[in-house]
Amino acid sequence: MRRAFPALIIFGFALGVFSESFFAFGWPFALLIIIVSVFLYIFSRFKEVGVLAAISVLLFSFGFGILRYEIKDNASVSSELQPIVGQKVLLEGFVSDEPDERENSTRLILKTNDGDKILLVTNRYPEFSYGDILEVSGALKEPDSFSDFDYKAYLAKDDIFLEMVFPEIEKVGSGGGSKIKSALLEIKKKYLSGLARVLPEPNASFIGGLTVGARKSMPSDILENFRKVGVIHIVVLSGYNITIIARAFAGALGSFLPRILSAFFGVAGIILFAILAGASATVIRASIMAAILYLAGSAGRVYQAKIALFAAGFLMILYNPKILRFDLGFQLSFLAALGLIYLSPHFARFVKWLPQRFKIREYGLATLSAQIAVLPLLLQNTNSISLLTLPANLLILIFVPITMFFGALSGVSAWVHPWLAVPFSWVAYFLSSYELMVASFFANIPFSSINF
Amino acid sequence: MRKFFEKYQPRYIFLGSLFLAAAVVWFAVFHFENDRLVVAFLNVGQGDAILINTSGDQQILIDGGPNKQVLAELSKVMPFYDRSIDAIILTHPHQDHVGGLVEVLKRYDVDFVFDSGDGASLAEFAEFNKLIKEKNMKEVKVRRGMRILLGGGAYFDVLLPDVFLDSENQHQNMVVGRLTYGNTCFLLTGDMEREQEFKILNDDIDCDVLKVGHHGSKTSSSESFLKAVSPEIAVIQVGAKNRYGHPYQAVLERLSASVAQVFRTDVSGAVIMESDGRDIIVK
Repeated sequence: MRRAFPALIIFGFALGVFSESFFAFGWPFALLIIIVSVFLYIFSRFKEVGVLAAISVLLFSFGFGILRYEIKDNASVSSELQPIVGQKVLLEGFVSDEPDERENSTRLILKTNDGDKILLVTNRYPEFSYGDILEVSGALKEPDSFSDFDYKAYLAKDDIFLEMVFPEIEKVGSGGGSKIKSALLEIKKKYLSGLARVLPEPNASFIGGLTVGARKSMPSDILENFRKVGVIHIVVLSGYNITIIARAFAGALGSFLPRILSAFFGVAGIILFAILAGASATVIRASIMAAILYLAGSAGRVYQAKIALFAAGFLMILYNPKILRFDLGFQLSFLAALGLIYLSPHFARFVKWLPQRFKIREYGLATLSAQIAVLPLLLQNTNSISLLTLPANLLILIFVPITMFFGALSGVSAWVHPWLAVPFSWVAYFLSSYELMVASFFANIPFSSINF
Repeated sequence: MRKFFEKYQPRYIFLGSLFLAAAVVWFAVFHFENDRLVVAFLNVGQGDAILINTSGDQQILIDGGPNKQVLAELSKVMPFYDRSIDAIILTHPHQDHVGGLVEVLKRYDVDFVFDSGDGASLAEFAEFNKLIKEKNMKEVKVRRGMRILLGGGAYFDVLLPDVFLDSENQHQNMVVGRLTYGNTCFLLTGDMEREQEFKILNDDIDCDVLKVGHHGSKTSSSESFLKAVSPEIAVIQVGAKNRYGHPYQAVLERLSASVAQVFRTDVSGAVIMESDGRDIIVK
């Protein structure tokens, strides 16, 4: 019974967080449950009833889940800004996240000196970067929710409660925020502009998405194609891409460093890469898993993978309980990983007809189990199913690792000189063109996806 | 067998890539060499962007649409390894003409920039000017009477602006020109309005192709102007469901009454024409 305690703790905690996000029990209720569970545990020790002990552990963590969510949910606009919400104001702060560049506007997160985070919707130019210190003046207001999407709650999960739409912005300095993050984002910017110098669009954006999760610049019709045929996960930097990068990194280090050192640098590398890639919930989940598996030194073994998945999920919800309900990326990536671990052994017999060469069977099995696991959530959120996911994924996934390899090489070498990148960028161009072509081919087949 | 393959895989990938690269070079050599002038009216949504590819293999881009959509459009009409555009002509510094040029300047090697010298407080335009300075491009202010030789026998005659007006309205200093290749001619109008149309009515503007001014707005394409140009083909560069209601119904009627073929980028996507110096074919 005692061996089940870690599972019970994680499950109870997640359940607590989840229920609180819907029912708002409040902290007195959480305290009551925690106290009851403590008495129950003591009682179970006297009577030596295993089931009671288990229930008390479950209740205890359930109570803590409620409490954790309650603390997060109580965060709100600071008392300095509270009285001026709804007015035209002048504020100073620094850009605290990578600018999110859309087709015709840019979204910036401004962190004020009082620690409030404000969403700025602004023009594409002039461009700002992470750490820039800005003076903005405009109307400070609460975000509006769309009819079918709770935008306010979506922003609130990252403690953003206010927005300014097209304010006047003046850059008054730079160097705000973390030096490490700023340096990493600068590297990413150089890498992406290197890609843009040697590859045409949309190939440059596609390879940017594949290697460092830079989705911002993909043309919307191409993203739509990817969504339609169910291969969007490869351009938003899923666990799959991170695993490829972590393995390549570990392999390279392991070949010349002693084991302990290479483990240390490997994990450090994964962490730095997660920051560089934008540290979205999906990226962090995949990175924690990759790091744990890497440390365990047994990538691919089911038992370790299970532990890694639940540990990653637990740590992330502990850090930000709101992602459990309001971050679709986290939900999808967690479910897909669950599918890979728990469903794939059962589906193995359905893909026996696929050849083993080039890992075709492995990719087929992974696609099938991940897609089935995310199906309910995808149906609820997009109201559509792609029918050609399996062939599209197979035809694309086999070439993704080598595309990432040549793509990364072209971006890095273009940094030195565009001519140096020529051999790599040509290969990367053909591979990425092939993948884009497969996606658009399948997306344009009638009934490739069904809408409800 | 499998072991053999695993052992030699990297070598095969490398050799395969080299072979592929060689094949591409030869394909490119045979495919892209021609004696035709290609004019591509790109589909950049609500905005203008026209790529001219001369038989001397020079590329000239007139305007760049509102945003980076122009990049994907350029890739469709340029070979992928060509990372240079020889010259850019900016008709006037409005968002829907200069916006996309910022990314073009960042990604392509550009030698010349031609414009009227009109200023604007637009952030895109400031960024555009900053890049011209940073990258040491040659900037030329164009006036009526200038002829830009585009290579391969094609040239662009500047019809407007004739005098530079100190005006808030950037349409007043619009760069308008006639692209000539052999006996074929394209009239490229930017957002020219009726007032400027009258200024060039007495010029030799009888052309085969007219880029309809200002996305088909009612401020352009007057009856007498259309008569003077008497084009066989008219192209309207316009975005689907744009908020200005372009193109204007009466302009469409006027065009269909006097022009044999009218193309719209919002309906048929990019419109690509080829001229051999005698005839123009729409691809």
